[in-house]
Amino acid sequence: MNRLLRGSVAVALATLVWLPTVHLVFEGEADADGRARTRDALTEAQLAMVEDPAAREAALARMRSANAEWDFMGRTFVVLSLANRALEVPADRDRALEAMDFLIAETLRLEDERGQDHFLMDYVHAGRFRDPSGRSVFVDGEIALMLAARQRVEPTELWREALAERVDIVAGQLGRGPMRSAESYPDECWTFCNTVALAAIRVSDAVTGDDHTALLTGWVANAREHLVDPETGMLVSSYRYDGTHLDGPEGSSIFLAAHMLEIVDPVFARDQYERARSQLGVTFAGFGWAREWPASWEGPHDVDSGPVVPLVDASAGASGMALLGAAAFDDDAWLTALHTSLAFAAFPTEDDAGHLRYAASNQVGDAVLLYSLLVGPLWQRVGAPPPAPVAMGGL
Amino acid sequence: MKRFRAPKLMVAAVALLAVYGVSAALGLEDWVGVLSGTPVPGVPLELAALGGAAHVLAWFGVVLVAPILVIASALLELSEVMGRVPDVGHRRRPAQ
Repeated sequence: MNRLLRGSVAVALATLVWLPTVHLVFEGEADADGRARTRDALTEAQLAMVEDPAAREAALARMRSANAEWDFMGRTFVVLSLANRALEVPADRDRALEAMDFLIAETLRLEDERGQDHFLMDYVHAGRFRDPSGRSVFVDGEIALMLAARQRVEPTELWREALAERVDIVAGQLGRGPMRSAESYPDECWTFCNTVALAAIRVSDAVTGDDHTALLTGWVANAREHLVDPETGMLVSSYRYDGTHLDGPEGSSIFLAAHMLEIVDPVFARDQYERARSQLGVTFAGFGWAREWPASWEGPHDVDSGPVVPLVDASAGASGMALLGAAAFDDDAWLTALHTSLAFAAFPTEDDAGHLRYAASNQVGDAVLLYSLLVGPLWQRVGAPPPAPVAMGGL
Repeated sequence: MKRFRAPKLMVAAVALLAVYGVSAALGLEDWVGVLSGTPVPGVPLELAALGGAAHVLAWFGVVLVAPILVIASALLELSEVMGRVPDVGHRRRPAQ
C-alpha cells in the first residue's frame, strides 16, 4: 500500500474514532454537576456586575452599540434569574432582592428620563403606533414582568403601585388589539413580547389576587386561530397589528414564548416547545444546537438570529433560547447536548475580576443562560392557571 | 545512528496547537463575541469578524483536527510495527 493511501486510511479511521467521542471532553461541564457549577459562577458574575458600576457600564456600552434592546433584555433576564435564586436559596435572598430593586429602579429612571426609545431600536421612529397609547409592549411587558417577579418573591409597598399601573397599561393594550396583541414597534407585534406580557399579568395576578383569565385565554384562542404558521404549527414571530404575518417561526423567539406560555396555557406551551424541538433542534455526536428557521421557511439574518454558522445552521440566538426551553420543559438529554456545545464553542473564560463569562456571548446572552440554569421556582410559585371556562352551550 | 524524524501528521498537530497559542496570545479570544453580533470596542467590525473567525478556526483545529492527526499518526506507527513482524518471523531458525 503506498504511503498516501495508508495515510488517508489512518486519518479516516482516526476521524471515526475521535468525532463521536470528542463531546466527552466537554460533558463534565454539561452534566448536572457541571451545570450547577456554571449556575453558581454565573450568579456571582451577574450579581457582581450589578454591584460594580464600571464593569456594568462597559458591558452595557458594548451591547448598546449593536442593539439597545439587549441592554433592556439583560435587565429582565437578570431580574428573573435572581427572583428564582432568591426563592431557591434563602441565604442569597437579601442580596438578590437588593440587586433586583437596583435594576428595576434604574430601568424605570432611564425610561422616565429618556423615554421608551432608550431601550428600542431606531426604527421605532419609522412610523406611528396603531394603539392610541403609543407605547411599546416590549418595554411595558418586560418591566411588568420584572416588577411582578420581584413582588412574587417578597411583596413591598415600594413597587405595588408601579406594578398595578404597568399591568393596567399592558392589559389595556392587549384588550384593544384586534389580535388581542400589542405592538412592540409601530404596526409590528412580536410573539416574544406579547407572551412576556401575558406571563407578567399572570405573575401579577398571583401576587395581587386579580383575575385576568379572560384576557389570557382570549389571547391564546386568537393565537391558535390566527398566529400559527400553517406549515409548522408554531407561532409566527411577528405580525401586523391586524394579524398579517411578517416573520415566520424563529428559534430566537419560540423557545422563550413556549416558556412564557407555561403559566398561561401549559398544554399549548408544551405543544409549541415540542414542535420547536423537533423542527429546530439538532443533536449530533453528543452536541446540540438550534436552527433559527424551520426547513419550510427562511428569514433574514438579523440581530435576533445572530450570525448563523454555515453548513450546520447553528444560530447563536436560537441556541441560547433553546437552553431556556430545554430547561423549562425538562428535556434533559437535549439540555446536556446544548451545554456540551456551550462548553465547546462559547469560549467560557474569566473577566478581569475572575468572574465567569462567555467570550462568544455578551451580558444579555450570559443572563439568558443564567436564567435557564435557575428557571423553575418562580413559575412553580405562580402555579397552574385556573381551568378555562367550560362551554355551557345547551344548558 | 538513525536520525529521529517526527511523523508529518504529528508535526501538523503541533503546528495547529502553535497557531491556537499565537491566536490566544494575541487576545483574539475576546473577539469571538462577533459570533453573537457583539462588537469589539475600538476594533472595526470587519476586522473583529476576521480575527474572531480566525480564533474559532484555530480552536476547532486544536480540538477537532489535531487529535485526529495524533491518532492517525499512532495508527500509522502501529501499522509500521505490525508490518515488520513477519520479517522477524522469517529470520527464525527452523526448529531442529
